[in-house]
Amino acid sequence: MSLVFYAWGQIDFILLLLASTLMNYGLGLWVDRSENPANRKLAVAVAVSINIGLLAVFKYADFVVSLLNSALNLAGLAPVHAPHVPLPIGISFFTFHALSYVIDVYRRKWKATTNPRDVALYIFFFPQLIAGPILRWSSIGPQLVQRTVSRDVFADGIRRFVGGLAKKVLIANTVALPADQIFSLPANELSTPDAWFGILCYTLQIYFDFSGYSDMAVGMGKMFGFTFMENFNFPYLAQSIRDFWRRWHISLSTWFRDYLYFPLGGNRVSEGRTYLNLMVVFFLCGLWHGANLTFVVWGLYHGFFLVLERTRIGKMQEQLPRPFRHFYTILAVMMGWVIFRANTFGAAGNYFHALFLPGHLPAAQPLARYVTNETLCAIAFGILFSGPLWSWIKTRYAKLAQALPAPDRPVVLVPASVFEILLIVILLLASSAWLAGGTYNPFIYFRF
Amino acid sequence: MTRAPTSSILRRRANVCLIIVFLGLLWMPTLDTFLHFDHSDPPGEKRQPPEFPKIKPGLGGLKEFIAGLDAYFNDHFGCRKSLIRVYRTGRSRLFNDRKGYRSVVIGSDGWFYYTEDQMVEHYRGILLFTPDQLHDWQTLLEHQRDWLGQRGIKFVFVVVPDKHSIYPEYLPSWMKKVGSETKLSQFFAYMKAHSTVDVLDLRQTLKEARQLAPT
Repeated sequence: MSLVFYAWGQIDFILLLLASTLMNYGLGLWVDRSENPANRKLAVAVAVSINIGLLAVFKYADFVVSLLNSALNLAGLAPVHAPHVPLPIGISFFTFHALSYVIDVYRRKWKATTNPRDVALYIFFFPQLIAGPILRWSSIGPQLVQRTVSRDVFADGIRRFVGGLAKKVLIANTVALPADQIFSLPANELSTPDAWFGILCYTLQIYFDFSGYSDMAVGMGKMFGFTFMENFNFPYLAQSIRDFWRRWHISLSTWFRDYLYFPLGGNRVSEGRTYLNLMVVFFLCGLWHGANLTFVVWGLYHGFFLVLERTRIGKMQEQLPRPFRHFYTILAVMMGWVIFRANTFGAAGNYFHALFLPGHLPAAQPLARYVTNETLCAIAFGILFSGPLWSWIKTRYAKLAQALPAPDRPVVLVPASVFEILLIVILLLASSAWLAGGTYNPFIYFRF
Repeated sequence: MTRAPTSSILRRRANVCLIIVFLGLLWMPTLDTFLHFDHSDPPGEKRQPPEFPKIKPGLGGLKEFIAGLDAYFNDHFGCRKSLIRVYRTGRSRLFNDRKGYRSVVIGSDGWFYYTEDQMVEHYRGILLFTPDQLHDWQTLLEHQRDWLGQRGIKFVFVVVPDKHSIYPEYLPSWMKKVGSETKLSQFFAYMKAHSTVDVLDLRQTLKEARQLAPT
């Protein structure tokens, strides 16, 4: 089923990815069965090299050639001609799953499987294949041996799935249209109000799109009896960039922490080396998101803030009142999204100019063109549900019920259950209707 | 034997209800595909829905088949008519929006204006020709006129004006012109001054004809 799902999106590389899966299966067995530490190291080094090599060829070859040609052009030399390599969908997720498989086996966190189907299911499992969360073999391996599907867990899966679908379709897609329209405006048409509205929409789009996909994956995982790692924890409530990365794309940040930052020495080395480690990790984190220098700079931008927060400035920032800490973080994150979303540095520069240097632009697109009732509604819900409003309501309600004598509790609990089921039905129907009737459903992970 | 707390029993019952309702909704489109119980009005799309694709040999054929199947499914899945009706009714009743569509803007009295291909920017006069581009148009049209002339064919160049120019009064209020020039006015002025190619400007004629037949 997972293979059909992948082939439906892109069939060209299915055999290559299957071959890579088989190779990782074999390398996992080699790592697992080697008693000699040198052999084990060799096996894991081969596995890491091949997986990173595949990623380098398919995702970064074009990028490296274009960088090289820019340098050759500056030097007045003839450019290098290399064939264009198409990008297999989800190769970054695929590679990180494969790496986690061999490295977790190497670290003896979980044994290698003798059944190649288990490796294929771990890597290709359709709910998380193209947009995460990034799974760990040490977490999924045991679940492949034994997992239970219960009615309660299945129902929880439905709640997560429908919630995620609504986040993606009703909020992210709605704010995506003005965000895309505004980010494609040339400098002379981009006014300051347009630019702030555009970045607000994009900030909500990327969170609700990505966390919506993650919720759907976690929900579907539950329906099949799997427990996936949580990928988001209300990142826009973060009080610092360090806090943001504990809440945003958690499966990626912890992957980099466990498989790169810690092996580099983490923060158990000198202060200067820790800073360097952070910058290396965030350089690669940026590059993971796409083969473009804007992503690299976005990663380094976050790395810079993380280093800054470890210095005296960070200590001062911690002393600030909570609203200021939050304002600093959300502003830094939003400015980061400008770099992330812009296709070129020139476009990012124009956008920053529009954000902070208002001027008279006769050709500016009127903001009224983009502000619709539906968008405003999506923004309002987006801001409300960027925090744990729903779980707060549920907790308060549960406490209210607990405070009642046991025989009276159904008076409160039955309407709540009926309301929840109705809400889920409405969200599912509305999301399906918006998908059927709407024409705008962007997929923003094609570069991952 | 201790009895389970009431809240747990209720929770379990709610979960069973939720699962039944969810699976029921999930199967509705498939059931409709075979039983055809969705009798809503068709969405009135002015295009032919794709037919079921044919399987052709080779990887290219398979890719074509998958793309065709995707397009076929998108236009034929069960309950589609009802879902589109819910979308249209829900959107207009909840939001009463005249904006927020990718390809059109809705002006007053329900008038639709196309917005793709930078139509708004053209109308507002944001996008203008450079002198080189105007010269290129002149060269191209004169070349075509001469080539046809050698074969005894008369050449007249006609630009069909956009709806925005002929019916500007129904445009949404935010769609204001930046200046008096547009690409089309530039083109006509340039050709009149620099070329002998017959170019036909229909704008004034069509505007006058509105009095005879307003729409």
